[in-house]
Amino acid sequence: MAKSGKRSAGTGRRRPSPEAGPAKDGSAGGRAKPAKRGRRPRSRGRARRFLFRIGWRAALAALVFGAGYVTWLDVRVRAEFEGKRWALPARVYARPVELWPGARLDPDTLEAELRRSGYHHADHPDRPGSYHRAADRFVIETRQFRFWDAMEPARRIEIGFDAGVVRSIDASGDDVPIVRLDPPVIGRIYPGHHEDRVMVRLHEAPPVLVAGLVAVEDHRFFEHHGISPVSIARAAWANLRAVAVVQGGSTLTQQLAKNLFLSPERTLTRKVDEAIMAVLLDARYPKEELLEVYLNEVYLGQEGRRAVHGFGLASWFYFGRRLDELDLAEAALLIGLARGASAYNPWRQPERARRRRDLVLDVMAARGVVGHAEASAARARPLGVRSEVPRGASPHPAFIDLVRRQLSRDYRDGDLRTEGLRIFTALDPVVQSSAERMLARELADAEQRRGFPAGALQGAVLVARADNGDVLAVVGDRRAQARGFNRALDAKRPIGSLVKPAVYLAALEQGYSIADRIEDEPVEVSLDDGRRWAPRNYDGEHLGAMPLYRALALSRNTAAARLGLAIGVPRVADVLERLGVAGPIQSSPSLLLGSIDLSPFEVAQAYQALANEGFRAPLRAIHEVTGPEGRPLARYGLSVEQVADPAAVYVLRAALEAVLAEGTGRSVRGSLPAALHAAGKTGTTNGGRDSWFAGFAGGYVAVVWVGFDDNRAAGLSGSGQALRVWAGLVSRLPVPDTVPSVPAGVEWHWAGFDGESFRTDPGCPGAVRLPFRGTARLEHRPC
Amino acid sequence: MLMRMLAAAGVAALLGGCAGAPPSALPPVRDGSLPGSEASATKPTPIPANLPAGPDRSAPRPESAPARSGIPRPRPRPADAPRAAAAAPKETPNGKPVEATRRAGAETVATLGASRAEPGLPEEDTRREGNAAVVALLESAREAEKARQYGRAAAALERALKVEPRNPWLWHRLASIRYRQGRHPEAEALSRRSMSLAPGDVKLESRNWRVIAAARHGQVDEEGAREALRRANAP
Repeated sequence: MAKSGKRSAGTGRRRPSPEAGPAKDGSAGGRAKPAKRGRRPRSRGRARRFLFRIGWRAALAALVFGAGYVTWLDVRVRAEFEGKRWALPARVYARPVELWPGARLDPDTLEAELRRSGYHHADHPDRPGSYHRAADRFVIETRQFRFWDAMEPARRIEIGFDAGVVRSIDASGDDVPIVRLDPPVIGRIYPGHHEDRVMVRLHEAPPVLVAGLVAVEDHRFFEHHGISPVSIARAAWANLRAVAVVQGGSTLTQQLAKNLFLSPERTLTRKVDEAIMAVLLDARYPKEELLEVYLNEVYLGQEGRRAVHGFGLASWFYFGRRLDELDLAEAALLIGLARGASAYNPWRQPERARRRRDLVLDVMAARGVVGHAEASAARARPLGVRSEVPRGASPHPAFIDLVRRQLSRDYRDGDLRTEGLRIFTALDPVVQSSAERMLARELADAEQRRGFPAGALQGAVLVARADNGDVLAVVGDRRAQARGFNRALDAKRPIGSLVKPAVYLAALEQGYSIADRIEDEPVEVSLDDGRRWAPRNYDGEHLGAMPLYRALALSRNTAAARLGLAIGVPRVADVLERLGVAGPIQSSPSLLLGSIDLSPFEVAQAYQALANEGFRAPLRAIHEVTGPEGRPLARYGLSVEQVADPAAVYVLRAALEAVLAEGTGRSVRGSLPAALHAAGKTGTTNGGRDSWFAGFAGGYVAVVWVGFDDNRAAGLSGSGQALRVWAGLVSRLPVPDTVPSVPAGVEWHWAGFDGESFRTDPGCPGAVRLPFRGTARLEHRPC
Repeated sequence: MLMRMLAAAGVAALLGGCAGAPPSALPPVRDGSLPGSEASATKPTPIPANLPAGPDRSAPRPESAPARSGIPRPRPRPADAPRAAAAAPKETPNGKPVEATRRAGAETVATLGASRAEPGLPEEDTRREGNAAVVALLESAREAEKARQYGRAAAALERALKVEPRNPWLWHRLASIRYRQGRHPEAEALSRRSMSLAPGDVKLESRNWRVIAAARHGQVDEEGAREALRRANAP
């Protein structure tokens, strides 16, 4: 943004130069006029003296003006070149794939991850960024990558899988305990002018590319002083012969001056400025420095509004490879693009691009940069560009939105856009794509089943890791790529029955057990303002006495209201606050049935603490931020806080597992692997405006909301749409290795219920196994 | 303020005095032996029930907070601290019901070697067997800690926790690092997380209580620190 501003200011300041021209012409005219008058011989001497005087002054004026002008250009060149800092967009990375012997990972998933990170399949992987797969064995040439804490070296690793588990990782004969692959970029935060580039240093660029560029664009670069009269003359001659501009006589330095300081219009005065500036640049700076700036400045492509600058990005853009991974043919194609990125666009003009590349190869061979055999081998290669133009826009805008919000606490927007920050996030592309797919599919199905207009139903999903609060996926719209309203963060809706776990947790903390009796019967209380509050059940019926866990599993409203009123609404509000719900929370009885508006993100935070045995970990999208060169700037570390008694949360979890086993969520029971230990809660609001499901399974916590943006009463329910999205999602997540351990002070007992709860023996008819905090106070009855 | 700093320094010196002793020999702290014990009398809540309310409190914060003054500075550890082999404290299933048992091979057991204790903190555990990835990451964490690069040490431990999320020793190590970073409340919370994952593991509990004691000293909560030390030394 700053740069475009400078540019327009430059255009304004250049105005004096066209005026400078007429001033010189004026002096020439002054010379002509007196010549006409000089008819009489007597006046000839006077005229000559006059002419001399005028001419001398004009020359002096021109000299002074010229010197001043050059000085002024020099000041500009120095100011802009030395203060030259490109506005570099921030790059946002997904979490890196980590591999270790024993890690559960599907080989297909690994291959998808490799492709996402720009690895290319090759029969014989021979350069970083390539791999070979034969069934369950991979050979990967990894890329060097600077992480926040350490550099992962480029190396050749072999990975063996066995039944979805990494069996061995081997790097040239040595066992490797753990490998981090370079993570894929999942988004960029652009400067205002949408210039995108990946900085490269001259020594990082392949020598053949640099030599080729010089050979093709300006082979006298290392000899001339910024401009090359020979080239200009030759180009002029060629253009004259062709009666068109076929050859540019510009040196690399002139091109650089043009790109850096001048507007694109082609006028003679601009050409003069360019030449002067090129000479100044050449005089002031080493050739290598100019070349490095050229490598990063040159315009090499376009995708929508995003302008691709520099070879570092162009290499990714066209080939999905790092610059130092390019082969000769690929490098030659990029060199060719410097002359005209749109004219030789390899996607739109493949034939032209090919001819241009081959010409570049010929020139490189002719000038001795490469051998003739090498060049002709490269000519035989296909263009090798990606199958389609890569999109610069993030495929996951809702997640990037969360990243920006969490960063905005510590960084100014301008810095995010221009400082080339590298932002390492927790996003798991596998979970993210799965969440996007499940939501889109279920909403389309639901519309068809229920006869809603197609595309009207909306939804949001948030998935996090329970143990550390890593946000793995955020979906804010059924069209995942849509930018705009991010429902996962901003759609605050009444949470309905999602609040009930807080009610029951408060009761457990007060000494209730989940086998205790509760009445599912009408209840009515008068509120402070004199109104009466008489909640009803979803089905309008009353099921009478039942144990607590069953009342929660079946989401009985009147039972939850009675329980909440018995322990006191403020206790429930307190639990919610501890779980991380931002206060102040109104302690009115309607809170017991979820009359509190929360976003899916806020619900996920509250359920995370329940999923993590009472330890709240702030949901974090970002792990680390580094500068463009990898200098660590900030780290958002793992932290936890104990907010509830692990034993109480463990007991509550059993009731939430009952939701899916025998309660309102039982419809998806068959699709959830037992090893997930899935637990959760349905949520429905008045008139079926919102369909919620929040729960945890296999170490993940996931929240789904489905509803209409206009908040219409549509007869949705938590046991319907949201639950199906949730079950579809978690059943596809990798099943973890561990199961929740029983905390201190919890015992499992068999319990029965016949209007009263009692302890009984294993296998008694109707008996269930339930966890109790401490020894169950219940009477024991054998069956 | 000066008084509190002096008190903190006194505590540090007191703890430092037992730096070379094996952990079990940590002298029990007698009442009144702590300078400044009358200055602060905030009783620590065993389970923090008060929860941050504002949205900002839930925000992750970057780990760039400089260590405050008044925090007992860890004494540099001798580089070649002897690591006498100690009995490996196995995770004790201690009669848990079926649900409690881990699947075979799911998580590995830490093997510990005793090294010299640091002021206020239990000595570092050095794993020698178990999951190779975790062992390697623990080693990087140890090196980073030695170089006082606590952020890097924490990062390595967090990576290890992705491999074994329920390994209580890793949580314990992270708690120690947080203490070193001067993030005392977090150190206590992580110690509690560690204990919650290994109920009945007396040795680990004792270590965690010592981290908690150090963290409370760091917050000039002398009474809380004494209580934590008492629990650390409980048989």
